[in-house]
Amino acid sequence: MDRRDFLRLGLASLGMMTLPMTACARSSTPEGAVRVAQFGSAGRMRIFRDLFSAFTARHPEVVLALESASNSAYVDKLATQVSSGNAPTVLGLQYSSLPTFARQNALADLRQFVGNALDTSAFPPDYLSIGVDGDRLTGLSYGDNAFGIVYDEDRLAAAGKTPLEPGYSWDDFLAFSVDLTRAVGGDFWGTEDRSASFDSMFKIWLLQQGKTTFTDDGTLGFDEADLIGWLDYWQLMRDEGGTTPAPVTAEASGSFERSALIRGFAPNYITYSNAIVSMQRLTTSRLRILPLPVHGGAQRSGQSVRGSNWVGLFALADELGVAADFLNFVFNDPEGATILGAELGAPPNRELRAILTYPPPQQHFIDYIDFMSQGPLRDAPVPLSIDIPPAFNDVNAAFETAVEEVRFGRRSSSEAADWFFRTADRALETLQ
Amino acid sequence: MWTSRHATSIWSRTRAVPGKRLLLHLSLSAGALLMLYPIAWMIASSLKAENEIFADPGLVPSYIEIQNYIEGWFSLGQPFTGFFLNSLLLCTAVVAGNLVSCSMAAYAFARLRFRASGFWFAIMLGTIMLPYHVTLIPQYTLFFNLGWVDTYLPLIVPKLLATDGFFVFLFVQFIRGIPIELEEAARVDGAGSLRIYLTIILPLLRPALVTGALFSFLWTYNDFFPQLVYISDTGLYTVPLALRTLLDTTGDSAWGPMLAMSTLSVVPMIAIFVFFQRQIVEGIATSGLKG
Amino acid sequence: MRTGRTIERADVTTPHSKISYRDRRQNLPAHLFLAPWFIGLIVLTAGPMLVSLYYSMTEYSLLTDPQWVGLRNYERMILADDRFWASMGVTLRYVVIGVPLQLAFALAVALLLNRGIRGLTAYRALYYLPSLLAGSVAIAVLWRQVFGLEGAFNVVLTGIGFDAPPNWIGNPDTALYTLILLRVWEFGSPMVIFLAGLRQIPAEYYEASALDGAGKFGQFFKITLPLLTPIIFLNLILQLINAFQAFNSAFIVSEGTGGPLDSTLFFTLYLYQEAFTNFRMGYASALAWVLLAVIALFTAVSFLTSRYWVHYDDGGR
Repeated sequence: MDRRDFLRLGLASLGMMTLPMTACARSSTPEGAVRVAQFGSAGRMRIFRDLFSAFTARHPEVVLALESASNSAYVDKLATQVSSGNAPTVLGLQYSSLPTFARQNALADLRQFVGNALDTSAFPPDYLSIGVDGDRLTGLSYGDNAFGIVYDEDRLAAAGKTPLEPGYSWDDFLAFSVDLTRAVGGDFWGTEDRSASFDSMFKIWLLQQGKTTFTDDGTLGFDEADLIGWLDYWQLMRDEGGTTPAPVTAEASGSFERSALIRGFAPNYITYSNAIVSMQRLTTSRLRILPLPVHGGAQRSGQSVRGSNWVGLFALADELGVAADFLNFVFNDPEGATILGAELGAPPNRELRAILTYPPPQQHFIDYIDFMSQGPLRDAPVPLSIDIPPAFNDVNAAFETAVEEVRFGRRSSSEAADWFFRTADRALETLQ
Repeated sequence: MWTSRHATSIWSRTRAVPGKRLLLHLSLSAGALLMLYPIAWMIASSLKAENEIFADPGLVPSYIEIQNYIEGWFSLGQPFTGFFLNSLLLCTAVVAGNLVSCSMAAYAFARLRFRASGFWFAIMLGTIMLPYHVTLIPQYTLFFNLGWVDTYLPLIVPKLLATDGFFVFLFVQFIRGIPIELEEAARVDGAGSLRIYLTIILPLLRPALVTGALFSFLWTYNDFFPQLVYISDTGLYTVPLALRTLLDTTGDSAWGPMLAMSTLSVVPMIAIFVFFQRQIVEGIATSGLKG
Repeated sequence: MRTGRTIERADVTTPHSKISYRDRRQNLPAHLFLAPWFIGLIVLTAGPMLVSLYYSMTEYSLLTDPQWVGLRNYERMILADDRFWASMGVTLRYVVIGVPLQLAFALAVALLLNRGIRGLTAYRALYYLPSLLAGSVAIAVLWRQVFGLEGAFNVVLTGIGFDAPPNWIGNPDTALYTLILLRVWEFGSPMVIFLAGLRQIPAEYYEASALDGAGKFGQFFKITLPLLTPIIFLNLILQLINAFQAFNSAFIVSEGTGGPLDSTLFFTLYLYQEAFTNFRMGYASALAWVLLAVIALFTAVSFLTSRYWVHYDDGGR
């Protein structure tokens, strides 16, 4: 290639450079579209597109545009957009992000729509109280959810075991798990080790003892003895062989695919109960959901029904009315509710929830939610603004560290508890 | 020129010892196997059923599942073809922008004397030392106010303005490796800076330019975060954006289709790599290549 | 283009000798060549950088306006933040171990590949493969499988007689080293730069030294290595900066947590968590500027020492 060729190449490149700038510089999203942001899988996005077509068939004047991202990337983008005042109108939010966005006044008060654009008459009684921050209603749950333990029934049956009955105690859980490990001769462990989960495990343990994770004024609602009790319970479980040792626990952390249940280290998975739908896709075994254990003589089960997927409206958006209409369509219109189904949790509209039909794993999840919201274990949820204080992430991280230190045998339970309280108190103090 | 003459001398020498050559090939092949493993794993996994990918770490699927490719290709409601074309367009523009603007800046830094050149050079390096997470928001606000959000402009225009100091520094070092006598002779013959840049520097810089083009292309092709933040419209989605959509850690991850599309997404990269490598090697006397 | 011509003419009209050219300033042509970069700096880069410097002295939660707090963020970082020190330690270890290993490996392979062997292009492409996959989420899955309890790495270890090897990624003592290994394994970019550098060494030098009867090793140390020093230096600086800012590998392998037990909490990962998980952009900006200072320090030291070992063909201007 001589230098003339080189120049020609340069000019050609310059030409190519201008091409995308002119041809593709503009998005196909029309002006005035109502933007709807949602995290989740490609399958979920197809459901949202179907919702859009169904809604715009009724309201031809409205254009809805979807802005999606997978879970880990979603909040980064949303925070960037919100800080520049360019966020979508309808914001799908995880329960832990909702209070954060609400505190920054990024979310509109939904009270203005309740009773007119937004019909909540068929919702459960305490449904509207969870997303309240101060006197504003900052978010609604797209669907009901509750924690639970997904068990591989086939694996239990092969070991000659039947699942425990709801209402079983923590001692029962310990004995059952240890037994199971012995029954299968150590082929797998009786339960996975989810002791590091602050929100889905430890909080429930506390509530059953009449305590909370956080108090109304944003301090810790438990003391060192409570934490030591928790750490010792799981250390006993580990020592007795009832749960996976530290290296295996680390191996099985993270996503469904890597979980102890799918990988065969343990017969169960402790998480939001709607996970059964995703889990069932990964295994041919029959799966079944159980509630978490309850302390003997406890006043409450601590296992309230609370959404995991929430929705709020961006405070600075123009088209709030249209957005409220859209939400009403999703929640209360038989067509909208049918399309969404149990994708984001059990439909909050009780009447529609009862009429809709669900594929098998979803039906099992719906039954579980019905049981947890009506059966003997039902309990009232803690409002998100108290449940998730500003320093929640720091406290959560410190809790995980404390549990892992004990798990790996680097600290005793009292040393870990001592360290946790120093770290958590400092975070709570500096970040109020 | 320089490049065309150099290789033959070394290469003709190594031809003499066949035993050594075999050993070299053996060790290179062994190393290559290690390098191949991830691709082999990806291809194997992309042919497995969803529940087999994690349960069975082996490289041989129990049966071939082509479905992942079909499902993956159409999983976003439109075929992947569009995402590939979008990525190609974006990468081409970025490559062109980087080559032109960064080689110009590099020439000035490496060869021209100007006031406070050391200071500006330090500033240039400094701009690539700050993690992009903390400049993202002011930059987003800027591009939003320019009306550029949801277009490729925020991804292309900075490259036209040599903001990627990495490439400036790359070219500076290579220009400094070019013997200066040629330019001095040209200066004596009355050539100006522009002519020297075009007729001496650019041709001699060719290995570095090709390398820079290669990196620009591949890195942009893989660059997820800026594309995520600035692009919302699915019609403008690029390959990394589309790929990540297939993965959702707390919901239904379409691992099979994701791995299938990841495998396909590597194909253009390999093609580009081979193409650019040829550009570097081109011009070398072919006799030297016969082993 | 037209401005270019005027410079040319200006240059031509000034008679100059070789020596006077060296001393003469070339402000105008330099500024013209630098014009795009200057515009980019002023409009796109400097503004956001200065804004982030301002943020670093505020409390800024992304969603509401920043509140001025002076140097309090820096104070808290140094006096009262364990994770700041922990993450700095992780990153320093990663850089100090990973960068030299990666560069040595890249140089060795580049030298091997710079010989006249059959299938050269194929080898190069193969050795670049891992770098193509950098940042792909598939790598995260793969790495966890390879270094997991029953992973390929342990299969090999048990095969050669090791008993019950651990889960390398799940163990806080070893997790960081799997990421260092990942970096070394992705040595393609410095390798390609080395190859381009080797390609640039004029053949005449080798011919001349061959005539002088220099052996292979003599040639390597007398010609290849000295002439390659600008490129080694280039790779060193680029990889230093890059390694200090390493984010993707830790983010995808640990799923953004930096675990187990913060053992893979890279500095940038901590910074990212503060910015986008906890919405403390003020504090995150302060962290970023501290990182900039640390990188600048390492770079400055490299530049200062470079005059002793980097040989430029332009006489070291």
